[in-house]
This record gives sequence, structure tokens and C-alpha cells, in this order.
Amino acid sequence: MTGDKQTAADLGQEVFLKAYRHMDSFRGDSKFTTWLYSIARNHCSNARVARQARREETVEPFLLDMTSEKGPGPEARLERQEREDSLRSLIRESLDPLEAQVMSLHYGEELRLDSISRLLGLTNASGAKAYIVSARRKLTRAISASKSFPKGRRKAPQP
Amino acid sequence: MSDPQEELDLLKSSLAATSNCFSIDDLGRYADAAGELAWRERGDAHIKTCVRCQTELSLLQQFRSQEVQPSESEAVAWIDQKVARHLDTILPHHQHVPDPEATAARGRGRKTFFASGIFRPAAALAGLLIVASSGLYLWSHRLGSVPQMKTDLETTSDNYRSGNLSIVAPTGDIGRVPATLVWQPTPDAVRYEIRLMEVDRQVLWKASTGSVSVELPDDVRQQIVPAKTLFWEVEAFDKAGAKIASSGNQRFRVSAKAN
Repeated sequence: MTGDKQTAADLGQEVFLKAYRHMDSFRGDSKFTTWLYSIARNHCSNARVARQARREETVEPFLLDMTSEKGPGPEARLERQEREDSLRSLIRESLDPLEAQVMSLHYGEELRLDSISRLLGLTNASGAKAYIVSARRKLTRAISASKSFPKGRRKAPQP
Repeated sequence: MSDPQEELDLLKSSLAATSNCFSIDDLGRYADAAGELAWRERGDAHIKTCVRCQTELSLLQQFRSQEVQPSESEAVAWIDQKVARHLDTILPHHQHVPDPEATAARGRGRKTFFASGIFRPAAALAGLLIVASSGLYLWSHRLGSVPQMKTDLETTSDNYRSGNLSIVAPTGDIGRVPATLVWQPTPDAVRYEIRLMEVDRQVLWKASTGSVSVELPDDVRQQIVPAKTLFWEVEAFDKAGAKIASSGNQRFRVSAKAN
């Protein structure tokens, strides 16, 4: 995904060390593997935030100010919520589990397609992309056929 | 609406974690069929309809079930020893949530408990590297791991009091990154120590003050990302420096949809 295996390997090592250093904080509330998985996710999240923060340093401050001000109003938020709920239902109803998983990782978690292919062990020629294409086609069809999906959205987004 | 970017945003937000989504801890318990029946039933209802939690659960199970490679066996044995020693020291005194598996395991003894738990961590560690090199780095960014769900089994937003020091805010699921941590005064307290922690209780930031609130520095606030559960704790000390009250660990999380 990053095209940077070294970074990924470094993170992996850091998680090893972090888990070892903080072993005393493991209290047995959950299984060790769950605890370890949490550490890995948190650590990677922190690394990503740090990386993003470094990027944002280069953005003009007034642009940041503009983007952080004024969210949508209550009506727009409600409408957005309805659209999200409808789309979730359509994803659930029209995609098979693997397609939904690939969509979730790609769009929800913003994981790259080649990473998803490796993560899920997809061995077909085009890997996760095939699932995205198929899911998108099904979703577009489902949106078109849906009477309840809010107007104006009749096509699934391009990856 | 024909704006492709807006459509893409909609798809992303529809598939991102919500405030109802399970934490990794909760998914772990759910996978182990632990916890109270009512809680598991709520889990059934949510996971059945949530693609994100289904995916996360699947990945957690995959993580847990990584096979140990022959080349890793020495490291596995070493980790096994370390973890077992540590758990031998904590389990007899450990106050645990009612987890039938763990309770039964304590009764059966450490070996049985860890027959499924010790080697897998090491396997999971090995698996972690595989996952990391596959892109965990960015994959995990939204969840911070840790999209968390309120649970009846541990400190929650409902626990406004723990120990004998009352927390005011933040607690539970909140709409935006907090600027200040606030608690109720404790009689005879002259100093308060505050700790902000990750879910593994690693301290992210700590401070000491004589006041009943403390501002979070910007660099700390930047680490409080949506959908990431954090804990904080306040301890009160008297004039002699003795600890006289504690809030216990208080959970909070900025909603995944916070702007």
C-alpha cells in the first residue's frame, strides 16, 4: 500500500518491543492475542497520524482554517445519515461477504488493493480489484433499483 | 448528486466505523463467546448488520490463528516463558470480568489456559509482521484499532464514579477532541496527578496540578483521533503527599463521525 516495506517492517518490530515493554499492563481482561492486536492497531494508527501531521505542516494555515470551520447544518447531516444508512443496507443485501469485506477494507479503512489481496490471500489474477469491480457493479444496480435510496445517487463511486 | 468525490466520501463514511461498532477487546470477547448473554445478543444484532465489524472480526480471528513457522519456534518458546511468568504473577490476584473461559482456565491451571493462548500470541506476532508488510500501517489508521463500543464489562461512559474521585468530562463517546480534562474536587486534596493512556494502559501524557481541570496540549490532542478509545485517570494527593482518592480508569472516545 505504501510501497514501503521497510516502514511496515519497522512498525512490526516496534510493536514487538512495545508489547514486551508493556507486558505488565496486560491484565488478562482479554485474551493476549486481542491485547496484542489492539497494540498493533494503535501503534499503526499513531504512526499514521504522525505521518499525516508531518504532511499537514506543509499546508498553508489559512487553508486548514477554512476546512476546519463550519460543518454541515443539522438538515444536511440528517440527510447524509439517511444516505449512509441506505448505502449500508444495500451493501449488506447486494454484495457477497468477500466483496463486502474488500469494500470495507478499501473504502472504510483506505487500504490499498494490493494490500487487501495479500491480507485476504486472494489468488485470482487481479486480486481485490476484481472484487471491487464486481461489488461496484452490483451496488450500482442495487442503487438504481432501490426506491428508498435518496435521489440523485444512482451510481456507485469509482475506486 | 453526481459529484464523484462526494459519492466516494459517502461510500467511505458508510463503511467506516461508527460509534456503535465494537472495540477490538469487545470483538475478542465476542469471538470467545465470553461476556453476559444480553451483551452477546447485542453483539449478534450489531455484527450481523455491520460490514465493518464483520471484517474486523474476521481479521482478528485471522491474526489469532496464524501458524507458527519452524524458524520462529525458538522465539515462540521464549515469549511463551515470558508471558507465562507474567501471567502467573497476575492471575491469582487478578480481578476479572466474569469470563467463564478464563475462570475455568484458572481452575484448570495455567497450562491448559495457555495451550491455546501462549503459542498463538507468538504466532500472532509473526503474523503481525506479515500483516504489517501487507499494509497494516495505513489499514489500521481509522480504527486506531480500536473502534470501541461501550460495554457492560468494563469501565464505560456510565461509570462517572470510580473509586472516590468523580470525573466530569470527557467520558464515554464524545463529539469532538477534548481540550480539557475536568473532575470534581476531592476534600483535602492539594494536588492531582492525571494520566492519559492508550487501551494497553501505556501512558500517552501525564500532568500534575492543584486545580480540578487540566488542558490537553496540542500535540496530545493530535493523538486523540476519531474512533480511538483512550483512558484517563486522576489521583488526588493530600498535603502529606499521600494518595487519598482515585478516579480509576475512565474511558472516552471521539466519535468516528466527529468533524
